[in-house]
Amino acid sequence: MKIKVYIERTNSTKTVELKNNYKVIDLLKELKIDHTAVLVARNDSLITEDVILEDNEDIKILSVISGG
Amino acid sequence: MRYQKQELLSYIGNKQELLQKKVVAIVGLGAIGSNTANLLARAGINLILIDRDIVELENLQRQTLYDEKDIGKPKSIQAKKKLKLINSDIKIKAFVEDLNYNNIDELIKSDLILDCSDNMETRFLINDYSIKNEIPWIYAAVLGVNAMSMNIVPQKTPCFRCIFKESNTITENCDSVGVLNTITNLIATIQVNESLKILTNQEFNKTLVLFNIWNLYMQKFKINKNINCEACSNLNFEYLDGKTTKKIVKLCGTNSFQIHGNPINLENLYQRLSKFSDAKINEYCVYSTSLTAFSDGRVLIRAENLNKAKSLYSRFIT
Repeated sequence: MKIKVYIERTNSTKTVELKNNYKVIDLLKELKIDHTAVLVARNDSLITEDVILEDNEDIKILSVISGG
Repeated sequence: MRYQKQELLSYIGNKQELLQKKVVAIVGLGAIGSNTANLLARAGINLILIDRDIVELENLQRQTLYDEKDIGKPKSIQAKKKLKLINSDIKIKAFVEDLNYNNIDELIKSDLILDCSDNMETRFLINDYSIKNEIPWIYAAVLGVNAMSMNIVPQKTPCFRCIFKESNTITENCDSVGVLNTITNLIATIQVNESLKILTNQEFNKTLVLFNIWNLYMQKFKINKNINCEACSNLNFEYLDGKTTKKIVKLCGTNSFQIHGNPINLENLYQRLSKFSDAKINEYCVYSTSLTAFSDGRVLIRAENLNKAKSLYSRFIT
């Protein structure tokens, strides 16, 4: 399946090919992104790492912000 | 008369009286915290100010309560002085302290906690305290031209730990990326806006909001409670119990590390440091270009990396 991924930190979009039933955590591993440093959104909702992705989904990866 | 324009608004109206009875604790008096404190003081709300740091020259670009005469002095004390000039009717308590599991019960008793800190550990600590004591809090953070905020109201919203995790890989900070003073003002304004709603028991935002001020972009993300959340589901308050406390914390804003050790005799340290650098001493701390030391044992060290910070600590403190 193909997932369209927007990565906020680099302001870039890429299409990633994944096996069916891949979860959010698998996508992050594929992209070599540490799961503790980001939030993942589908449409306008944050989703957890164990959510199974579906073909042709649009996913946003947001960097956690810590400065004050 | 003072609050006339606020009382004219249907959103506030006769709730102004209620606002003036409320106490808000602000954790961190940096770029976000100094702006929130300014707005809340003007709105007539009593404040508790907590900050471990002193004012530095590079803070003045965005930390709007301070001026050049404040350099070298504790932020919370200088903020209180300025805020008292703005509104002498409100009550303000100021603490030059590092908020931790030992002192949080004593320092933070309030109706609402505003996170204006610069590290995740403090946020997880506030989150534990908030859930245990059923006190709402508001997360706010900035980096570059971006900011995030989220309201956490026990029993009504998911908590911070439902979506955020402890991480050692958040390497980008205001020091490496920089920060624009418009985004710090914006997120402080959002934080105060939500404070007014929560304090007056009105409907508030239940999403995570993300801003990019340069592109004038804003997005709201729905958040869901994590049924396995250690904090709000399992009521396992690891941060409040001190199980995860670090002695060394990398700070945002400058290349600084905080090392918390044994109490320090400031006069002795000043004598030692004076031989090597342009050290100065006041009633709260000893400071030089490379470090600031407080009597409670906290030392802020400006160094390129953790190892250099540790070696400076070893050289001058222990």
